[in-house]
Amino acid sequence: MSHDTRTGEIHVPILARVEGEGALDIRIAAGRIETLTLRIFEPPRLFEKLLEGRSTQDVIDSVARICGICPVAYQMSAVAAIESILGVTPSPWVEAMRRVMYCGEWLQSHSLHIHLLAAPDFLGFESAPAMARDYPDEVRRGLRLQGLGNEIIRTFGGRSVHPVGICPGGFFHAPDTAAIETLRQHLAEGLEEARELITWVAGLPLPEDDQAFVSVSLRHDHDYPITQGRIVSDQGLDIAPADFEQHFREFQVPHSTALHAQLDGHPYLVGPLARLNNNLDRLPEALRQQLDDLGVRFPSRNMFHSIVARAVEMHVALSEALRLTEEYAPAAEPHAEAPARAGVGVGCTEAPRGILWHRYALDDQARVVEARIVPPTSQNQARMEEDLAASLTRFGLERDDDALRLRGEMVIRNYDPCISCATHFLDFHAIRE
Amino acid sequence: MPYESDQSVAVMNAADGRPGGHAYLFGLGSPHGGDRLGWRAIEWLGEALREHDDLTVARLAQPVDLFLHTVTANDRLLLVDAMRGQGPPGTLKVFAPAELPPAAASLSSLSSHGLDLAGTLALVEALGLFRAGIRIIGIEMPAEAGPDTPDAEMSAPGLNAAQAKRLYAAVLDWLDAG
Repeated sequence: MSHDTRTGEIHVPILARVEGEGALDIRIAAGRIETLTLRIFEPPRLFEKLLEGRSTQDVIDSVARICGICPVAYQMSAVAAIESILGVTPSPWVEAMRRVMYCGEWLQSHSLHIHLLAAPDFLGFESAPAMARDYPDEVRRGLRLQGLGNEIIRTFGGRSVHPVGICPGGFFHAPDTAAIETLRQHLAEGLEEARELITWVAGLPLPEDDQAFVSVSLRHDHDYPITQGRIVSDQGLDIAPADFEQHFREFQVPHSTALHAQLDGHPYLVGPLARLNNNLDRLPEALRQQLDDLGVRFPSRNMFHSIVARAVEMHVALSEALRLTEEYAPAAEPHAEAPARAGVGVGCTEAPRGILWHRYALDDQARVVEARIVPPTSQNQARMEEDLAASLTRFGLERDDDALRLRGEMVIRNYDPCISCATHFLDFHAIRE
Repeated sequence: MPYESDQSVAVMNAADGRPGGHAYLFGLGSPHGGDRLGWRAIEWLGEALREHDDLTVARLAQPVDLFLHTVTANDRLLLVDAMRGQGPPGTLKVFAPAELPPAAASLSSLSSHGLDLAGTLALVEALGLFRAGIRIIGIEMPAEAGPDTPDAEMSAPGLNAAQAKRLYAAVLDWLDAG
């Protein structure tokens, strides 16, 4: 059958190695994609409503439960919004150590995605254990780096899953010098491994698939953006996080229980590739040189360069954690006092998957009247659909259903989507008329 | 015996250069609720087994953290974890990886939210590690134990004297079998 005349529908019932419940439906007519929907059918989790009436500390501890892999991001966006309402300015020590803790989350999340979720796609394996038989050293390196991320989070949060260390104004507890010294030794050992990882990832057989898209991220005065910054795009957007709602619109679509989002009426990308595209000049010179030497150019229009961006950000995270703890001394007062106060505030930080925006309204007892949370995967949904249509068309709609399904899964996994924050299994169904 | 009471990886180099297999005894859990049973058991076992050579005892917050240790194909692994639905509180069960209850052995949770016990053991097998043997001891949690169960209701190590004796004996059997 000629691809010019091919007609039908493809349905992907199960997509492995992404988080949450979703499906992909494609209708092909006369060799073109007529409709494509990334269906998300995981039940709504209603977290915003559950937060109403809760205290500020309850919010910080509760939002960590939204996601098992990016709890720190949820806590950091929430605490930033809360502190803006309470009029609390965290000390330089708190700001630095929060950035270190966040680096831990980037390390563990990115390493897990590179080694256990994405790399098997590019190397032709059906799973991480299958890949581990042929690439044992690379997988073990990745697991060590992931473990270092867990160790950082545990140092500041008491545990690596749903940590409990953050409070309005700072931390409940300052790690002692010996704990940080031990941590630093391990981080230093991981730094060269992170450099080797960038080289390995850049050498993977990544598909060439340049596309036009808008990159949205935070941008900081001088640092690679993690915990704070203005919201920028590569198309000239430059706004304070408080102005998010004036430019970004969330809306319901019939096929998804997670909201879609648009920037000035168009899909956009958040996450590691968007961050690196917008902040190449915030990388240390040595990293930029390594990328040049490896022949990977940023800003990049190839969505599959996301995996390279993740590896680069792992090195950034390790370097930053080492830099910020270089002359570590525990703060005598690890948190500032945070008196109850009413008001509205926003917080926006760079979760591993992209900007995570929170807005809270508090009453005069500092209890939540209203909450709004915009996670990265919701923001990327429209972009994912756009990418799928372009990628599958370029890949060749004349290919058989299995090939299209696998390619579709690879495209979706490349975003490291978390449908439970906003996928784990995806249905793929093709109907050819 | 190197005992890693603070979860640091200070002992990871201790394994370097040793000629033969090494025994790793890891407790899985967290600092709070019923899930802390694995940690409390391992803290207690670490003290009780202090005189044993060639044994590393540590608490792990996630199974995948075992890769922070320089584990090899020659080593042996014993994991202690809290479990539910396998009998009265304090019930001990020893499992080989292939004998894990379906919920724990399912690979369905190999997702972007972390690597669970089954996923970690699948990677361990693929990497050819711990060929000298892997066992998992499950300890039944108190019936009502949840994430907020107060310390007072979780006496160390969450076992009565007879149960603790059985746990100790099971670990000694495993050590002696090496």
